[in-house]
Amino acid sequence: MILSVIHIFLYFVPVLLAVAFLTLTERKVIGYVQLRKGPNVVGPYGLLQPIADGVKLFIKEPIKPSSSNPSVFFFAPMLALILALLLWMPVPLMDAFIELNFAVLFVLAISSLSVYSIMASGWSSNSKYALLGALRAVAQMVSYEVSLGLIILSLICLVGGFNLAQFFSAQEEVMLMLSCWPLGIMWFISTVAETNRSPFDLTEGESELVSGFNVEYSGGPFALFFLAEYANILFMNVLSALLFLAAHFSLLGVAVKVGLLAGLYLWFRASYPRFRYDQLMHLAWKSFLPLSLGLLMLNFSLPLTFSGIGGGL
Amino acid sequence: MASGTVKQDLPPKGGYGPIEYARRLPRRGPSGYALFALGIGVAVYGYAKLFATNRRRRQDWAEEVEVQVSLHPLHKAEQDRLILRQYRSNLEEEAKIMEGVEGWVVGESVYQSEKWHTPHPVEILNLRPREDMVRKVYGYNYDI
Repeated sequence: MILSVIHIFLYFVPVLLAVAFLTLTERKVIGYVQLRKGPNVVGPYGLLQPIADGVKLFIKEPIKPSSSNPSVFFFAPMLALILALLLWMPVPLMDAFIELNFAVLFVLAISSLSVYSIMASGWSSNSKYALLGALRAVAQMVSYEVSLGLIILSLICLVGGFNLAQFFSAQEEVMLMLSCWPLGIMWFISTVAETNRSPFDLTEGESELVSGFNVEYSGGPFALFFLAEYANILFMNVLSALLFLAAHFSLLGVAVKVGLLAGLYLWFRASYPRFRYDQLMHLAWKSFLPLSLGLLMLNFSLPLTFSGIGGGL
Repeated sequence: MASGTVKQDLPPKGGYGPIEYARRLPRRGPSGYALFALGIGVAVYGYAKLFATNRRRRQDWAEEVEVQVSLHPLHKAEQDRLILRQYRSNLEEEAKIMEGVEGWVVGESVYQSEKWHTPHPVEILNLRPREDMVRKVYGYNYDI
């Protein structure tokens, strides 16, 4: 009983720690890109900054807007963090917390559900900025999920199974990035858009929407949203590494690959200006959707033609 | 006036040429065709390797299934032996527990027929430590 509780904590605490230090890395990297130092006061080289941030956020008073719908308002951030942590359960690094034969479908299902937390938070805040930000975020996430799903479907045709462990054995000789590099590039851009990261962070458009769906949140609930967002980012990087970069050789190798992908996220954020909303939608529906559909046909027929259908373990 | 010596600054005969406003950058790196060929080549290499891996995976899986099929009788026999041993010790225990009860027949079948029913794991392991039973009943076999 106690052991199983400890097991859960041993699973989630490293994820939350990684998330905390990802925020620090982001601030440091963007700082150096913009020729300034970034946080360097709290602790050695600013290493304790995320802990200070967390303590600050959780001891602040969570303000409830008087016109909000309190039960939904406080339920939404919890849902966001729960879903973000649930996503990590079938990841087979070292050992999966739950070993699912349909892990890929589980991931898609849970990441689709996280749309609801954003919708609930935007609606229940009863603020037009939050509502508009939430609408934008939901439209964007739903659009990019389509291309994510189709790309994953292509990979499943090649690998022959929905189990993430099968992606390991299929990529023992070469990573899938080699054969499916167009899909890989589209996948990576879609994950950036799916996690509402810059240059696709239209949901927070500071000039017009203040901060997007989480304007009205402060203190603890805001921290939960923040953790959920960064846990999603990190999870998407881990998933990209698992699906395309053959992340099975060693834990260090996985860490390096995930770190490089996360670095690319930060680099994007530091370099690119924001997309226009119609460009964003056109990218999803007019470029990625037809391309991934066409490549799905190719990836469905190629293994049949050359008798290279995957299967087994 | 020295109008003959001073040459007025005028446009050349026939006017100036067109203004060159087009960007002229040096061509760097491999040509578009070369990049295209490189991309396709990498993809072809990747597919070839991937399909070779998939064929090997299918062979490995077939071997695994063969092994399991040939071990199945042994596995079944061992399972029967374990069940029967536990069943007999259960009966002994039952005889000990129900010693003083009138009209109790040890090992009496709850069914009307004489047919052998392999007892359910819960029934067989009821007298064992609870962990054994839980592992047997709710344990999940990932491999098959």
